[in-house]
Amino acid sequence: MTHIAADHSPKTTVFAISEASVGDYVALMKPRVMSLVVFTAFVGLMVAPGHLHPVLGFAALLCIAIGAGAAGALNMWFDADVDAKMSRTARRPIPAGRVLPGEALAFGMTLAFGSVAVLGLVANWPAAALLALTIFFYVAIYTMRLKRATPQNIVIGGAAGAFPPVIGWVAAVGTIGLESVLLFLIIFFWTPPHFWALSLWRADDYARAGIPMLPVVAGHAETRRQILLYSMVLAPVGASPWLFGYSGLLYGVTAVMAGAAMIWLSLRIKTLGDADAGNRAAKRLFGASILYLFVLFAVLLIDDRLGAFGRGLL
Amino acid sequence: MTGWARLVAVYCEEQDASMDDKDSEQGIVLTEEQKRRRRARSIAIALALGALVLLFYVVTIVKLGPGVLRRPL
Repeated sequence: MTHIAADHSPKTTVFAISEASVGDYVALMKPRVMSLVVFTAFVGLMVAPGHLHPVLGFAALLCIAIGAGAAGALNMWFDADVDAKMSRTARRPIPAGRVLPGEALAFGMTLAFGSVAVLGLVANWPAAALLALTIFFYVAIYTMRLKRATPQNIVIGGAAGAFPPVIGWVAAVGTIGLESVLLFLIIFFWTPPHFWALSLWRADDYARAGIPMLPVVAGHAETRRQILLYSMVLAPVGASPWLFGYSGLLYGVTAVMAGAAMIWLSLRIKTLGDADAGNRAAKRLFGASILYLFVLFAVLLIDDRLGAFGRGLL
Repeated sequence: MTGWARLVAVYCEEQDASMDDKDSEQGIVLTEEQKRRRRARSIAIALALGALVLLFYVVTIVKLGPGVLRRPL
C-alpha cells in the first residue's frame, strides 16, 4: 500500500490526488474582487429605471458574482506560472500545490457557462451576453494576451472590471443606457491609478515574473506621471452622472470632493518620488482608490433612492 | 447538525468507503487529510446543488407568478 502525495508535474498528473479544501476553491474565485463586482453591479441594477423582482435581482447578482469568480479561477489557472514567482500571489491555491491546474480549469469553465446560462434565464439574454463578454475579455484578452505583452495591460483590461454595473443595469432594463456607460467609464478610468499605485511598490515582484507593468517598462517617474494624468481624467468622469443630470447635488458634491482627493494623493506621489514617503503615499492612494469607488457608488445609490423617495417612487 | 447535512455527511462517508475499497485494490490509499478534504468538497458540492434546486424553484414561481395555476388542462 502506498500513500500518494499530491504531485502536479505534467507526467504524473494521472496519479495526482487533490488536496484542495473548500476554502481553496473559494480563494480561486478571488472573493475580494468579487465583492467589488457585486457591489457595483448591485448599484447598476438599483439605479436602472426598470424594475426587477427582488428574487430575480438577487439571482442576477448571484450570477454576476459567480461569473466574476469564474473569471478569477480561469485567471489563476492560466497565470499559475507567474503567480509562483511573485510574493503577493505565491500562496494562491495552484502555485502552492493545493489545487491542480485541471481542477481550476474545470471549476472556472463550469461556473462560467453556468452563470451565463442562469443569468439569461433569470434576467435576460443581453445581460447574459454581456457577462459572457466580460469573462471572455478578462480571461482571453487581458490574462492570455495583454498582461504579459504590454504595459497598457491594465488600462485595456480594466474594461473587464468596468462591465459589472452595466450588466446590473441591463439585467433590470434589457438595454444599455447612457448612465450605465458613465458608470463603466468611472471604473475604466479608476483602474489605472489603482493598479499602478500597487505596482509602484510591487515593481520588483512584477519584474521577477516578467510582467511588463508600467513601472518595470517605463520607470517609476513615468508611472507617477500617468497616475496623475488618469486621476485628472477620473475626477470629472466621476462627477459626470451629476454633470449629465442623472444624479443630485449630494452625489455631485461627493464626486467632486473625492475626485479632488484622488488628484491630491496622486500629486503627492509625484512630488515625493522614490523615497519611503513616496511608497507610503502610493500605498495610501491604493487604499484611498478602493474607498473612492465604494463611496462614489454608495452615494450614487443613496442619491437615487432619495430622488425616488422625493418622487414618491420608493 | 441538521437532518439534511447529516444525510449528506453519511452519504459522503459511504462514498468514501466505497472509493477506499477500490483504492485498496489498486494500491492507492488516501491520507486522512486527503479523505477529510474530499469529504468537505463533496458536502460543499451537495449543498451548492441543493441551493441551486431551491433557487430554480423560487425563480420559476416568481417568473410564472399566479399563471402557474392557470393553465388549460
